This record gives sequence, structure tokens and C-alpha cells, in this order.
Amino acid sequence: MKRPETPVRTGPSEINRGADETIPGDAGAGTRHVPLSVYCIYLLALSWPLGAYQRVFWEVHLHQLAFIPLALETLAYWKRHKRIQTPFELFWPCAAITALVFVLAVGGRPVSPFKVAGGSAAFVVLYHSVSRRQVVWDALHCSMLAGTVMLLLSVLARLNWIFPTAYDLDTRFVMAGPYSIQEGVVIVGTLLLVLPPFLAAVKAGEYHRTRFAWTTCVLFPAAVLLLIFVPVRVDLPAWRPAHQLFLVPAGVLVLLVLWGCARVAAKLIVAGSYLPKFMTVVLPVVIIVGVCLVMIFGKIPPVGVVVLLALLAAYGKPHLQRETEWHRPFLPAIILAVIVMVNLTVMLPGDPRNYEAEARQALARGDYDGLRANMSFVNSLAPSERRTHYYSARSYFEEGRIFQAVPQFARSLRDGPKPRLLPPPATREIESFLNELRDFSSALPERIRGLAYERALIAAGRERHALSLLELRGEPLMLQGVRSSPLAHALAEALGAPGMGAMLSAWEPGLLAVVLESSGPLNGIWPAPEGFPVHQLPCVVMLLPSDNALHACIFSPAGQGGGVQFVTGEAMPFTDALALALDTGWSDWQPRDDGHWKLRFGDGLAFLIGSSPQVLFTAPIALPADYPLQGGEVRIYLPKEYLTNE
Amino acid sequence: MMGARERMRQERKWTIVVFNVLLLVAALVQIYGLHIRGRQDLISAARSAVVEFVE
Repeated sequence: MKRPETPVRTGPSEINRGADETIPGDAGAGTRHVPLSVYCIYLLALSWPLGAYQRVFWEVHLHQLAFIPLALETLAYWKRHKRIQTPFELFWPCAAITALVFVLAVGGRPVSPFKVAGGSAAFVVLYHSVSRRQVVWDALHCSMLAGTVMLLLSVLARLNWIFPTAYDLDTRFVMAGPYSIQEGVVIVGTLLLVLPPFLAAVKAGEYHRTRFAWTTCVLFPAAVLLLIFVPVRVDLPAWRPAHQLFLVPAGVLVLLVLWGCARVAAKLIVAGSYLPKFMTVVLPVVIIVGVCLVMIFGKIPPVGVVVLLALLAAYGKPHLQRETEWHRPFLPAIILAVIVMVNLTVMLPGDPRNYEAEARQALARGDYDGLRANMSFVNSLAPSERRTHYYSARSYFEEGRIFQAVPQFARSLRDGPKPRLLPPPATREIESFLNELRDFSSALPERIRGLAYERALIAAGRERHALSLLELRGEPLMLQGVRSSPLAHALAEALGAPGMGAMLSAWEPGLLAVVLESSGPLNGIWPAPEGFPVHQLPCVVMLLPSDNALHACIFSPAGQGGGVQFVTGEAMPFTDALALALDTGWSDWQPRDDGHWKLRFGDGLAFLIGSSPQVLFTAPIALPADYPLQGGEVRIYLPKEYLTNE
Repeated sequence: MMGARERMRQERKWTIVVFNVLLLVAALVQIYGLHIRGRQDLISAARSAVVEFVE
């Protein structure tokens, strides 16, 4: 139903314009024609809360494209009238901020001059372009609808139905849309702040699309609650308040921004003669609280905050018309929906979900722990992302930890389901890694480099190449009569390819023993003690530590046994138990009363030989970073006579 | 209705009031931020904030 027309209120006398001067983008009261500038304002208001999902390509976003016609129209208005609607007292802080930021950028300060200049221009242009009060409420309505969509997408991301665009590694809090959690908090917080004046406007008849407006007022808070109550460990200290507000030269910028915001609030406070009274109280309070929120949570406020500030400021323009009956702005919504759908389904260049770009940056700046934490988190959300393992391998390799790098590299090459985001490593990347690994390991002594390169070759499907390198590892021992099977399976395990055990069994036991012995600095061949069951020889005991687990294996002709003790963070920390274990080191094989033989490694690990080999973890074991057995340790036990002959 | 001059005077007055409120909040945010990051007590954090501002 059409509401009755209310008389147009005019503002104070000092802003009355000449008869030939028109309100920007105004086509006359009561018209059903929607000016282009209004469409652009709606598109701008709709798009900004969606952050990364409104990206068109690279750094270009839909809100920036929507801003261009507004800026051109403002320029045209200025050319025609030699002035714009934005008053000087609001214009100069924007100009000063922009100028200062460019000066700082030239001086080499880490600032984003174009971003800040864009924000300042957005404020000036948007303030100028708003022609009617309904545009303000319509735009706020659009922003809240888009904010609701962003929150619902974030809920889907929390349920791991879609991949998030922002996440916090400490709290595991994820959001879909914003570029960072801090930005997301600021967006949601500022939209929540806009809710009370919006509700008041609806109630007072300032904004009369009652049904839709009320729906938004319910939907947005409901989405906020939904996001909050999806289970998550929220750790607020991760969102630490700013502490650099008054550091020179940022302090000057902060003062300018605060002054500009104070001026906007003051204009709304004194606008009681032509605004509803409650708005002259609510809107300044909202602006003050919003500025405080941005100071606490955001370094540079997202552009949407500037948009909201400009809209609220423009609401206090004295000459705004109040009434209109326009068509609903479906066109901007359709344009935005298309862009969002494209971004949801396709990952275009520059997408924040592209963890590879961040991984490369972390590699370049040497943040290897951060890179691995990031890759681990991405992998926990999308286990099919094998490329995460590739970059973890890269980080280990850059640190020279090839024995940690190779298992990760091998994981990146395993077959698996179709990745959600990025394809597995390409042939070029595999070649590059293998070549670098070859160069690195060939510069190391044979016993130090272990089997890392051969293991990487096997993981890449080049078994023949790897085996030919292993065959060159020294003169085989004379071990005629010794069964090769336990040695072969131990070597296959050390190569990370247990399936190769049967094939390696065809090798001479002497060659297998030499290869195993040469794969680590502390590896060795020991004589079995007196009374040790001969049918259990040769016996191979192996420790294969990785970054978060200790693999212990034992191989004998009677079979093989193994165990893994995972060491993950706080659950099983590297403690004194390890130091104890290392101090004690290896013991000798000891017979037990039940006829079994036992070999202890410290107090936490024991190898048993009975009817079949077994591994027992009896206490937590942890391995420090400087543990000398990065490549593992292999102990081969042979009948005494072979070693005597040797 | 307020005259133009009176309106501008009121605007300036309220600008200064709101600016001071925002300045106070910003100072508190900075002090609290220093306190959280540096594990300082609030007094030391306030002193650091003043020193930073003066510098």
C-alpha cells in the first residue's frame, strides 16, 4: 500500500541552493524511476559485507566497480556547479588523511595509500550522492541482508561445508567472506550497531518497507546467534586491542579520523530541527560506539565501515527528501548473486582461500613453523588437499630437515579424492623438489643422508632409479645362509614402501645389511647374545622418528611387529621421560622367565622376541629437535659366527 | 529554527565534546592494548602510552 506523501522538509537556510541546483541523482519526488546513482549505492551497500565473495578479479571488487559511476557523477556535478554536497568540514579531514598517507608511503612507511584514499573518496562521494532518506535506509537494509548472507556462509564454513576465507589458527574460528577474523568481527559489530536506529526508523515510519525490514531485523541477529553457538573454542585474547593508536605518525592519522567522526556525530546531534528527535541521539551514539569498536578490533577499518559512516552522516543532510516509492533494487542483488556464485564455485587468482600464495610468502620470509601450522589447519579442513603436504615438505627442506621433508613429500603424491581447492603437485614441482633434494643429500656423507633421496624417488614412482642407487651403497657382506626376508622388509619399511619387501627379498642378505647399515650414523650390526633363538635371526630393530610420532619396528624370520607412539602437542609433550629414555639408551637383549627375549630402549620402549616379535610402549617417549637420529636408527642382529668371520 | 551561525557554533561545540570522548576511549584502548601485549600493569602501560604519545 502506498503511504501518504509527507511534505518535503527543508534544512537550514545556509544550505539552500540556487534554483538551477539539483539534488544529485534526484529525478523528482514520487518518481518510480530509480537513478543510476541509487542503484550504485545499493550495489555498494550490498556487496561490501561479502568481502572476498564479491571479488571480480585480483584486487578488484564489486563495491569498487559500483563506486566508479558515483565518483564520475560527483565529478560531473562538481564541474557543473563548482561545488559538491559534501561540506568542507567533512571534506578536509578526508583530504588531509589521504595526503598524509601518501606522504608516509613515499617515506617508506608500511601503509596502504590507495586503500585509505579509496576510503576517504568513498566517504566524500557517498555523502554527496545520497539524495533521499529512503536511500539511506534502503542501503542499510541491503547491507544487513548481505551481512546475513555472509554470516550464513560462515556458519556453513564452520560446519565445513564450504572452505572459509578467513581463519584463526589458535581459536580455529572460521568465517566465509571477510579477509580476516578481525575484519569479520568489525563487519558484524558495525552492522549490529546499525540495527537499533534501523528498527527505530521502521517503527517510526521513516522506513516503510515494513515486512522486509522486520525480516532483516530478525534474520541478521538470528544469523549472529547461529554463528556464535556453533561449537567453537573462542579465545578472545587472539583479538587483542590496538596498541599503536598514538604512535607517530599513525597518531596523527588517528586524530584526523577521530576528528572527522566527531564532526559527523556533531552534525547529527544538532540536526534536531529537521530530523526525528530520537535519531539525533541514537545515530551519534552508534557512531561513537562504532568508532570505539573499530579502534579495538581493526587496524584499518574495512571499506564497509566507511560506507556505513557516510550513509549515517548523509542521513543528517538538511535538504534530503523523505518520501518515495521506488521499485525494489533487484538488479544489484542479481549482479551480486552471480559474482558470489562464481566465487563460491571457482577459485580465481588472488582468492584468499588459495593457501599456496600464503605458503610461498611464508617460505620467502622463512616462517616455517607458521607455514606448517597453516598447512596443517587447511589439511584438517580439507584432507584431500595434498598440496599442503608439499609445502610442509618444502618448509622442512628449507630447514635442512630432509627426513621430515620426505614423508610429507610422499604424502603429497599419494592418490586420493579430488581436492577441494588446489590440484596435487605438478610434475614440474615434483622434479624441482627431487633435484634440490638430490643436490642437498649428495653433499652429505652417506651415513648422514640416509635413505631420504631414495625414499623420495620411490614416492615419486621411480623405484628402479632408487634401487639402482641403493645397489651402489658398498660391498655386500658375506652372509650366505642368512635369510634375507627380515632385512628386505626392514629396508622396505625404511624406504616408506612396505609393499616392496617381497621384491627386495630377492636381493642378497649381505647387500641388504650393508644398505641398512649405511642409512644412519648410529646404525650397526651386532652379534646376537648367547642363547638367543637362532630361528629368530637375522633380527632387525628399527626406530623411525617423525615430527609427531615415533615408529618402532622389529623384523625377524618369525614375522614382524611394530608400533607408533604419536606425540601431539600438549597431549603427550616431550618431557623428562624422553631425557630419561635417551640417557638410558639401548640395553642388551635379556632373557625373561617366560622364555621371551627383551630389548629395551630407555624406560619407555621395549622389543620382545617370543613366538613372534612385538613392540611395547611402556611410557611416553618424546624426541627433541636435536635428537641425532633424524633418519632413524637400525640395529641388525646376526648370528655371532658371521661377524667373527667378517 | 537555529540560524546558520548558531548551528555552526553548536556543531563545533559538539565536535569538541565528541572528539574528547573518542580521544579518551582511544587512550584507554591503547593502554589496555599495551597492558595485554606487554604483560605490564596498567600504570606502567599508561606511562608507556604517554611516552609514546610525547615521542
